[in-house]
Amino acid sequence: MIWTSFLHAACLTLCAPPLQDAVVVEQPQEPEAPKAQPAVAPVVPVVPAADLRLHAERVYTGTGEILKNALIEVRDGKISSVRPGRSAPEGVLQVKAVTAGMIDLSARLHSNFNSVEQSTEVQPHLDVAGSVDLHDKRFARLARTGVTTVLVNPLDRNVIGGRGVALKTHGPMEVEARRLNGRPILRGAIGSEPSAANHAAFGRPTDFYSRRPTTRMGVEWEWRKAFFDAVAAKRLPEKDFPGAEDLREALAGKRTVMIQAWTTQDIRTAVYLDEEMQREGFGDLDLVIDAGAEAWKEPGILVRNSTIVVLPPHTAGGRVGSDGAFLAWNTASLLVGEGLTVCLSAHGAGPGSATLGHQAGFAMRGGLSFDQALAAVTSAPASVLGLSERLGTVHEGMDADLALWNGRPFAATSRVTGVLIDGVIVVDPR
Amino acid sequence: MHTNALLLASLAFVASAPTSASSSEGDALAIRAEKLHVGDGTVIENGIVVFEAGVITEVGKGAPVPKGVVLIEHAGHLSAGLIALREHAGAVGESNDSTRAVMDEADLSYAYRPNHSEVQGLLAEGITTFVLAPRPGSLVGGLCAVAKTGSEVISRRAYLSICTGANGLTSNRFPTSLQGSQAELERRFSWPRGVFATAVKGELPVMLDGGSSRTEVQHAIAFARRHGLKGILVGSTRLGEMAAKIRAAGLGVALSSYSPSTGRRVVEGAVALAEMQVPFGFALGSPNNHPANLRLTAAACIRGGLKSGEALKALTSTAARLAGVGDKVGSIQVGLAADMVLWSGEPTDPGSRVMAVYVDGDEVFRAEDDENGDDK
Repeated sequence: MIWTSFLHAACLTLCAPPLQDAVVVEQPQEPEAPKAQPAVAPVVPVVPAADLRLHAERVYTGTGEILKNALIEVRDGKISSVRPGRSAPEGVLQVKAVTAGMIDLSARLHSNFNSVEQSTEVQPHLDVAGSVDLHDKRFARLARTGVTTVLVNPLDRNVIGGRGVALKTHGPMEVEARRLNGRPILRGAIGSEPSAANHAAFGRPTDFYSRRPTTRMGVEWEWRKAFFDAVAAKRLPEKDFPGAEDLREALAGKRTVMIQAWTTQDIRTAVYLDEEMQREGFGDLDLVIDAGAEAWKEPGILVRNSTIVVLPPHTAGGRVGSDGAFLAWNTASLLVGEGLTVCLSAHGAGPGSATLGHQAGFAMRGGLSFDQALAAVTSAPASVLGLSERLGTVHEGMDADLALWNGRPFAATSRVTGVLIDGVIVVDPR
Repeated sequence: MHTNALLLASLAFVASAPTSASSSEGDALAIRAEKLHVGDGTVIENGIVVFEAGVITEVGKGAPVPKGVVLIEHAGHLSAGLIALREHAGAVGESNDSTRAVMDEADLSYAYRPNHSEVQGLLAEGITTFVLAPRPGSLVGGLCAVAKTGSEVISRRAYLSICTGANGLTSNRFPTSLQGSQAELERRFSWPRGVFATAVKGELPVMLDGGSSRTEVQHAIAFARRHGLKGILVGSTRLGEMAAKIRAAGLGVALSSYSPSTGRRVVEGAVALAEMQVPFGFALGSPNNHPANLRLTAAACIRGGLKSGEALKALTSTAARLAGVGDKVGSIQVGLAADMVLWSGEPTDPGSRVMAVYVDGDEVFRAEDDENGDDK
């Protein structure tokens, strides 16, 4: 480590041209073969110059550390070094504070009704990637607020809506090129939305899609039936159906099951479903509750099932979602206090609304510590996506996805002034 | 400008001259036009075209006119009949079966009504051939037919019509979602049978309606590349923006009709496609679009920088080639059908008028005299 630091330093002082403008992305030089050197100098292979360097008064690494006066180097889209106690070199991009780019697990960037396959309530095999429009301005809008990674899920008008897709908010304009291959997510919903009114989610009210579930009970029955059928189909191949394998993988814990459940009643239903699967010996769901506003009412059932909770955005009156669930200010702090993993989300809040960064601030107002709030928008969601090795913290080797702040992150007087995604300056703070 | 442009100068030499009636089959006829647009970009001054039994037998400046054959002198331009790619005239209610998303063997020739007033309306605008395609709304709408306007179907397997984007979705049958649509199309083309297998082999072109947005068009191009499909892209005003990708995929384009609401996209798209040498023709989509829009779109593209000769090719020979009927129509060439339009002036000039239209050598349209018209 010391040696590599020395190499960097040597390279930067001896070999690298001074970076007058950090925005200029330099072509990394090809490492040259070691040449014969004068006897006094050690044989030092030339290390390519950093693509970008930035200096921050405070770097909140996400691992509990605060590095003061740190110089961050970025190379090939990754953080190549983070070194505290440095003065800012001439011309280097300087900011007050740096955190990892934020991650929103409930970004609602699907193509609305075009993401709803109404012909079946249960469609675990369909991938929402097909209905993602990367030209959608909401991606850029989220990036500007410091959100660098999102999980896109289908609109929750199906019981089991299909596979979600994790994407950076900036990058190549093709979904497959931008897709983050972490832990697969199977998305579904419990509550009034999959059973919204006694007709299809859109279109004529009296067509043959009237068979969709019309009650919460019907929704729950579809969930249970789907898992039972998937297990049955393993023994009876003639009963196989599209998505059965996805459901079996979920039961085997090979993919996370993320269920939207706003109210305490729906959160119970989700947990009971998981517990029933365990009781029957079918498997154990890796359960994440999205939009779990009322998780604070019965944290015990979540604790006993080790359920992860994604919270929807706070509102002034506390009422959130179509079912008028009540989200208390201290929900996140209460759940974290119970030992639960909590992620925050802006749940598709539009322009002018509170951003994910604001949600962290609100959660702190409700009692969450800074480190806990930071984790809830960075490392905790990164871990849900199975991408902790790449995202959610600031240290060497991680993706260079950074939120640059003009003050203490999440404070009411601070905001995100700059954003890096994969080492590219998406929002320039200067 | 060209008052009474159609001069029947040779009447004096022939006993029975065609007037507003057609030359019956077997009869030969010759036309000399001030400018004869062959269709490959060349223009013959005072060119003569001779045709017999519906087929062109001679073309050239000094093409010999057999004895006894009427030679019509046309003080104006002559071109091959125009070709509309993706057209619904006369088949609006009959070309999209809304309850079935995939009708791979549906045959659009059965939806063709040659005598329908919408079809006849195409002739007045010089459109002698069109691709009868299903209306959007299905994933796989069927096999497009190429029809002579008011006459025969000359190809029943011009394209397999596919909608990869939101245009293929309907709220009351599978699929209603983009991801459902993609899963279904992937399944059909990954383990292809029937017409899908023919399309994957490159033996049956596809008419790919990706939808209007950039993302949908990207999906359509990627889909075509993934499965090695040949054919044309339709349905978006943004196709020109992706000319390089379309070229790389070896696809052609049927440009959407220009209207003020599409802004400059169609126009700029045509210029971009021409620059990238992507073969393109024009879609019409009548009756929603007036048949005049075919030529007016080309004129708008010329105003935006497309060369007039390129525009005429797109309206005739390139369109014929894209529809797989280049050996039958689209050029004034020996052996091809005598489908032609006599114009008062430059064919792509919106001020020019259609004076007469021939399909298979029959005069099927003639402009009325302007006794009460606007001519001075």
